[in-house]
Amino acid sequence: MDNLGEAVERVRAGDAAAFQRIVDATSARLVRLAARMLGNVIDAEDVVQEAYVKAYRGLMAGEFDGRANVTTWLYRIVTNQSIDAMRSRKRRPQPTDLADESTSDLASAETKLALAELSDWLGDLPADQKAALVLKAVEGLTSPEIAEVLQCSEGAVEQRLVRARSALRKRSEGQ
Amino acid sequence: MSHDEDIDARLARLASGTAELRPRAGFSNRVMQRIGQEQLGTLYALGTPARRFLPLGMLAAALAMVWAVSVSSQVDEAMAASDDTELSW
Repeated sequence: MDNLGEAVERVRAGDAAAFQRIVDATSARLVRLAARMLGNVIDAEDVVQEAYVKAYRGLMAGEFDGRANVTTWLYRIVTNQSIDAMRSRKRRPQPTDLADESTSDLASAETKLALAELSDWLGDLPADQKAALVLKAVEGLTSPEIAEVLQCSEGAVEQRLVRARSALRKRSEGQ
Repeated sequence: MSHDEDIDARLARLASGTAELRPRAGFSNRVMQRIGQEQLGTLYALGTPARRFLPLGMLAAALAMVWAVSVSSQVDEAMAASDDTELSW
């Protein structure tokens, strides 16, 4: 268990303020993960905020059994929420200006450009392939860790990675 | 360099390029406010089943009041009757 175990126990005992420690320790990483999948920080914050609410409900309902560490569990919730958001966005395409104000007050021009490039490059991949690729090649998780986050087998993770790379390769060959 | 190496190198560059991404100021407070609302919602939800029994409770309270007044009147009458009673030896 990571060092947030004590905070988790306090939240479970009814001390909601202890949840702040979990938020402070994990929010930067989780918002970065969601932004890398969704392409902007405002959507990422919305997804992560709802993920925290879901996690809080889960803790109070005893859904977190402590087998995974809290950070991995939160990674799983944020990844699933981000996948849902990506699929929903594909069903209802919204005009997105990747150079909008969503990151202007918190990121350098280089960061904004990198996020826009990542979003544009991976934008056409199916959500589950994109998530696997971001977790592996951008977040640096191992395949077993990704399998735990995505709740699938390592074989399924490898398959998604192969398909994602193949799609990116085809696209670069076509250009 | 193979295509996969190209892809990996580009992903590594973009990972590094986005490493500075952070939530906006006050994000943590906004989350905790939302958690506070969630707590209130939980309390409200807990109160909902109790509210279903509110009319029954009000009826029981009204009946208890009627009973209390009625008993009180009987006691008053009994006391008044006892005041009129002359003791005879």
